[in-house]
Amino acid sequence: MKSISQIFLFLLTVFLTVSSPFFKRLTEEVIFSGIIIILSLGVALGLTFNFKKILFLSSFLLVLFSLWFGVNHFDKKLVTVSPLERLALKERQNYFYPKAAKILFSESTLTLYKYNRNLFTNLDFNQFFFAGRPRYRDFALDFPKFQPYLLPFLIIGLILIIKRGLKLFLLTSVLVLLLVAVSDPSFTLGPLPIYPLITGVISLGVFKSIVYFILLARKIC
Amino acid sequence: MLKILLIGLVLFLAVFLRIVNISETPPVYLDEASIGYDAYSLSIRSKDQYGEPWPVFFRSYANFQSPIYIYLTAVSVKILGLTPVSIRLVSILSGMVIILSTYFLIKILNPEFKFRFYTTLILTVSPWAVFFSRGAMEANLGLAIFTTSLYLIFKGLFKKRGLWLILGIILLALTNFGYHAYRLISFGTLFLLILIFYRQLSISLKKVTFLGIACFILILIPQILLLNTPGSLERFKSLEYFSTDFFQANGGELRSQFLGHYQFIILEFFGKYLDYLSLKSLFFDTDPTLVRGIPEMAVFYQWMCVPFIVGLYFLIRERVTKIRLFFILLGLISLIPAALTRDNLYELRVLPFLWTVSILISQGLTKLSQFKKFWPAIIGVVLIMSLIPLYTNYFHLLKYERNIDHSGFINDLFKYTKDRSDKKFIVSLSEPLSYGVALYIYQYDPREFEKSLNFNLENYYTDLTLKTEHNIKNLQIRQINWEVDTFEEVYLAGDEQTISRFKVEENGLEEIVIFRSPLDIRSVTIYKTNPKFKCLARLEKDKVFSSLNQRCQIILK
Repeated sequence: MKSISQIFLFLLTVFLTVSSPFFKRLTEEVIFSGIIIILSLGVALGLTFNFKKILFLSSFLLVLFSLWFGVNHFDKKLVTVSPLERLALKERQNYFYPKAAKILFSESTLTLYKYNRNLFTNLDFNQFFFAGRPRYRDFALDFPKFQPYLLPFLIIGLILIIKRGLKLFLLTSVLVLLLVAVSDPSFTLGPLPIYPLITGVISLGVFKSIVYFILLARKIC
Repeated sequence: MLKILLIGLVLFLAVFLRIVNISETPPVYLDEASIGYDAYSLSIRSKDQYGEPWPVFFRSYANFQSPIYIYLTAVSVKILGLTPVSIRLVSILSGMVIILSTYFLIKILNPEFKFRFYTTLILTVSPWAVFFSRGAMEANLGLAIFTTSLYLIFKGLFKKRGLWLILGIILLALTNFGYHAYRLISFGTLFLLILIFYRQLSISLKKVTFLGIACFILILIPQILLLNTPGSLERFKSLEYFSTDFFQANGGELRSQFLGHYQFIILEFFGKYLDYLSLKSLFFDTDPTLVRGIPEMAVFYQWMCVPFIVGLYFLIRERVTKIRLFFILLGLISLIPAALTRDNLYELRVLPFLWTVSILISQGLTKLSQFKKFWPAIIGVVLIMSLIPLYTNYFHLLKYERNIDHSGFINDLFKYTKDRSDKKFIVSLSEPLSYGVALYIYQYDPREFEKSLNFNLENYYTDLTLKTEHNIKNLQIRQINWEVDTFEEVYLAGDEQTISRFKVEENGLEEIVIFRSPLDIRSVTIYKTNPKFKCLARLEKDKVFSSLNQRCQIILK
């Protein structure tokens, strides 16, 4: 019975990954497609059946992938200051006492600001499910990465994870988010290393919902 | 004793943050000016600026504002005169009522002192709470009535006192007159309360609840009677995205798809709904309506993201009690009115949601301080990480970078013209509602203004047209008639869009004074006309034309 469930979850995760709008755009990037399917499977199986080794291994690979992604798609704007930004910084420095202004509106605070902007952009669910609707990010050529109707399952999955106190997964998510935040937010395919996490949680949500309904149906019958 | 001292200090900080430099920061905005002028009119003659006695909605700029804020402001205007302080006093007091009522509400629901202390602290320093308490915002008053009603209702429920329960339900009904969004939220809240707590009520309290519901409906009768008038629906109609016209203009690819209009409505609703729940909106993005936000600052500080996530984590992990369920659902339903409007991220419409998020952040802080054990250090960190950005972004950046949005230089213009009452000014600004600021600054006699409007009061709630050209003492607010006005000795005031450089040179206008926004992005200039120059230019033009005429006649012959 358990092996059937595992096969079902395997197929479900593959289906959810392949049918996601983001995957269609990955067709030319075969390596990315393969990595994302494998990592999604690892996360989904590890989360659903509590396979600690698989979860640990996929978490480790996911962090490595995020690191690679962050380095290869590094957001150069984080470390460079455009003439317009420099002008704004200078203007703002004039509003305050010079010593305080140099700390408050320095280039390093601007870098921190931009990093936070990337971080919070990656935490925006609208970007993943509604193509950034209603505030489209035209520069990023936004498109929905996942089907909007899967959002409730993501929430169910997240609730289940928190209820079970899966600290390894939560820690991995935080690490991935922190690492991906250094990548360029205008990258057309979006923050790729986050997708296996989302797909894994959605798979868990869908799987547990189906199990719940089967049990409910059995009870009723 | 220590507890009282701590709460006392936080309340002192709350008062300080809400009143410091209140008459200067921010400048009086168009909407505030209109609220102030309506209140001024009420305080003098018990009628609004149009001459309507005790309206259910105030016509204002034909946008039909909720009434309670203006009625209460009439009292402060009567006592203090028409000043920025008197216009904002109700909002400042509302901010304090929100903090106090929440403190007592949490005291009933949770005996832990730390939790209610943190809630008080978060509501004191949160950017949204400070910002909306320092401007004449009906929504802030609406939230104050709402939180007080919840306090009374829960006191009635827990102490089993029917009187508190009825008073709470009556106040809940009054929120409908406090701000438009509560016309949905109050019903939702009442429904939730009945759904979740009805079973635990004793028979006598059930009877009292029914009495309260009857009162709720009775109070709403004036609004129900006006429900079909354009005035009552105007706010929603001008903001909804259900119409075919809006879909055709904004539908994109969906316009050619099967059931595209329905898909569009669903996507708009959930997209907007989720946008308010997004961590980016809560902790990073500033309100896109620049006049409703602090530069580079969201409704909460970025650091609050951590206690928010911790609070959410424990909310999910711990047992869902009825009270928790109520607050979760309350937070979720309070987003519905905002998600039904076409504006993106309009935080003013979701204050009850921000209030519930503040409670969740406090919950997170309480949990964090249990781990650390040394909670005074957490208070110190909270204060430093909140007050420094508030000081830099609100009290400095806003003054410079949002001056235009807050009509700062329009205020300066009308103060200048008022001081020169012997001179005649024709003001033409690209902002058609600027006359509201003039009425406020001139404290123009509402009786005179009503006469000049010549408005038929029978159409008060149905006529949606707005007259934007007015004569106010030495001011004429209207478009400049270049063929007539420049032949008179007058002063013309306008911005770059209404008086171009070309017009200045063509008419020989003499620059008198410029009112610039601090960053010199926009300006209003006052010019003196030069009729002599204009007459000479006309004569020259006529000469050219007459010689041309003669030449043409020769050619034609």
